[in-house]
Amino acid sequence: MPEFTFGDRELNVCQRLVYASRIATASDASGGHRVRRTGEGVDFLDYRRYVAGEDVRRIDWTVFARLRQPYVRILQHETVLQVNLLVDVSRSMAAGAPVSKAALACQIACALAFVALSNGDLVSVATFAGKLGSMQTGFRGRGSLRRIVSLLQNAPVKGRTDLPASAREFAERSKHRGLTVLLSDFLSPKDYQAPIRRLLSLGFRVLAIQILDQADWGAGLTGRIRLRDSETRRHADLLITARNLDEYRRRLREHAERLNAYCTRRNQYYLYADTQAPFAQIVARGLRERGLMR
Amino acid sequence: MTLLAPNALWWLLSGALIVAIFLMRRRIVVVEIPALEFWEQMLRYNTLGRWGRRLRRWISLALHLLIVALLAGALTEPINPAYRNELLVVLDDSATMQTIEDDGRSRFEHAADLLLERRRLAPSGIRTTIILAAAPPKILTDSETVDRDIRAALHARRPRDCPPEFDQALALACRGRRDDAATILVISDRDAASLFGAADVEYLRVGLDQPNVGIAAVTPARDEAALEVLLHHRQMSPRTATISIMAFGQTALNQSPGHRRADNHAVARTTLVLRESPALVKLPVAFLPGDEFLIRVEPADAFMLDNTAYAVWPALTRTRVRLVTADNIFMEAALDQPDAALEITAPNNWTSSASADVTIFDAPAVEPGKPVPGRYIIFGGVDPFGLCRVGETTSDIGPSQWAADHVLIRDVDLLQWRIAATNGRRPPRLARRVVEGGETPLIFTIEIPGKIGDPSDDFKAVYINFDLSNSNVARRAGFPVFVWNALDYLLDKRPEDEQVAQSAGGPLTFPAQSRTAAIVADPAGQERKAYVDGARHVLPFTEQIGFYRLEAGDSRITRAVNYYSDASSVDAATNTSAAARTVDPAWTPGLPVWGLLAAAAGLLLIIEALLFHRGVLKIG
Repeated sequence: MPEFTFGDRELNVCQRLVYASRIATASDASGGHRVRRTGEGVDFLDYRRYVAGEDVRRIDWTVFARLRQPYVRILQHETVLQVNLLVDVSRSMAAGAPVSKAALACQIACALAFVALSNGDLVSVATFAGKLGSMQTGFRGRGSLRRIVSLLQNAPVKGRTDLPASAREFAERSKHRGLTVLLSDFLSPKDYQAPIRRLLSLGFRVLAIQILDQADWGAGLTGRIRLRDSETRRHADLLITARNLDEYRRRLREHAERLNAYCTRRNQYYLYADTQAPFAQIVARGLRERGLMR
Repeated sequence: MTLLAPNALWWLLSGALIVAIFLMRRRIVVVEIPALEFWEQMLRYNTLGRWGRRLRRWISLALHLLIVALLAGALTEPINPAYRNELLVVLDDSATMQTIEDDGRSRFEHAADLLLERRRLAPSGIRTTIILAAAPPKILTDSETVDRDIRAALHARRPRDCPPEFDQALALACRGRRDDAATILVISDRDAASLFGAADVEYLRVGLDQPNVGIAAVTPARDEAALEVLLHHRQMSPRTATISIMAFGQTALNQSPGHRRADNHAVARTTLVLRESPALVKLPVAFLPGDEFLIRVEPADAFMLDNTAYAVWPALTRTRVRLVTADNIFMEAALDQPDAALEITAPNNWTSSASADVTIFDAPAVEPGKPVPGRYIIFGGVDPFGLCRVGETTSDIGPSQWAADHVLIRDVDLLQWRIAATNGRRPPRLARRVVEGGETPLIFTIEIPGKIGDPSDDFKAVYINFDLSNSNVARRAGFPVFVWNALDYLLDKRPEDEQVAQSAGGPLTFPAQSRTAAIVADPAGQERKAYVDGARHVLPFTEQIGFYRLEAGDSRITRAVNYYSDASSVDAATNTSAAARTVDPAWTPGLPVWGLLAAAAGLLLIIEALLFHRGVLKIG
């Protein structure tokens, strides 16, 4: 299980953050996010003529009395943001220093959850590896944060990543569309496109946070060594030279850039997180730069 | 396949080291990484199954072991004699091959064993031609394929008493081979590099370095009262040697001190300490012309052939020389020799009827007459026989061209001759020019035959076309040599006539007693035919040392033949046993397979590195 803390110090970083309203969707329940959309709300936006067939209860009778013409009040719609947190707890996330990738993923998830809960938004949390793990929905209010932290702290870090299967199961079980945050290392070069495409087709918005450690970049690898895949247990005996290490890093960098480009092309979001960077900096600066938070 | 260095097979044990390293390599540092996929993509290998991985590993090990085996094989210097099916052997049967080695067998026997062993290593039925290298080279077997016949031919031979002629023997082998790729094998006790140069032959060497003392030359002193024996020796100093002289027939040996007589032989001994080589021993003995004697050096050594020298005291005859001169001290000094009877005549007193073997004119000023039978040397002046015309003189010249093989200029340094002015003689057509200075003849000869069968009726003259006073010739050190060369030429004398013995291997000449072939008895008593060559009988070659006797009617002429060699007779291989064989690396014995093996090992090494050491060694 990922060993991480989420206390007062981490909360202070997140207190001033708010999700940008433009990521809220029309299907969301009423909440604290104002969107440029008419509908049920409190704040007055404008008047317009009544159109036959409309609910007569929406006619502003004060204006009718003065103008003898039926007018309808236009109110600004206020929605609730649904934030879905999908945290990768496969075995490959166990590596990392000074914190493991899984721990950093949980910290970021908690931070995002806290920001949502602070604004009265709904949060659902799920972990995944080979399949979708524990999933709990309907977290609302700051008091739910403790449960979310507890859920993530107790999630076992094991198994092999199967993002397509996990995303499919998550989509089936999720009642509300909203912002789906995928926290993973995305080290399966071909496995990220199908699940993102599926989530988008179902009306989700996607934030892919790729968490990598220096070990993923080949730090400390040199000479004749045996590399063992932490998930598949396959291994290869290699003579690692500076030349092929550079080649490996180039390919990994290209993979991250392709993931970024894939998300950006579909108006979705991508964020790179390194285990050596403080999570608050990742959340506050990274998400603000991408317009996800304000 | 023949391995020249089979001990290199021990290198195969290094294969165990390879296996150990191979097994140890399994204990490799394991690093767990989140995903292997990027490495796999980058290195582009195919995922192998369990058995595939094992097979790959064993193939790698097998390649390593094969490389080690190939390298070890290359180090053994294998040769493949099978690609040649013809063997030409130049077998040294010269005198030094008679040397007895420590095991009691001669070098020739060791050489024969090596030859048979070499044949045993070759493909069965290989055609073998054996050429004996002693002068003159002979073919012992021609394309023989049966071992028994070759062995019988070798056992029937013994080394000859003469030096080798490797150049001729190798030329014979090259001409005689039917296949250009045939192996030419030389077996000898000589130093290879000095014998064959860059010839592409396989070379086997026999022989141990042995102490030796031998007789290098025997010559009578010019005063006919002593005998000079030149000894050469190796590894003998400072040992004592005893020289015994045993004389036969009418001998003057009893004039010398310490002589003895036994069994009709006169025996004399002298003892000396051998220090520097060569050593000249002068024995105060003399013999009567034609006396046979032999000289022995004791103790006998491994090479006994040169411990004995045979000799015949030459029949020295005094040459009657008449010098017609007013006064010439250089000429008188040159002719003041023990074997010359000099008579000096003033130019005014000379008459053509005066008898002498040779008449020498020094700047004659007589009226030209007709040729008178006889032998003449004419230095400058007027031609007393009127054979030459008079032309223009030439000033300040020297010899520019000459007949190099002419006996007149043997051992004479013509380049030092300077002539201030010539006599302007123009030789007749029948003259033979010997030395010329530009277009001017300086020395020429004229021969006019007389009655057939009467040599005394011949006219034979040497003309020198300048006065001695007009040149530096008389003051040169070689002037007496030139004068005596002229006397030898006019009297048809040969150097061997004054020697007590000749060298083995060359032709042997006798004064002709008749115009038909004569029979000569060799040292073994066998009769051999001597052919007529001019006024001499010639035995073409001599293979044994000893006395050769020609008998024609009542006369009997004996010649002695010895083994004389400038080189030490047992200057053989050092630090090698008599039975050991050494192959000089300058020549390739058979097909050099080791190069192919080394190249294959290198190729496999590259393939192995590309397959198994390029990034991924093996896949888990």
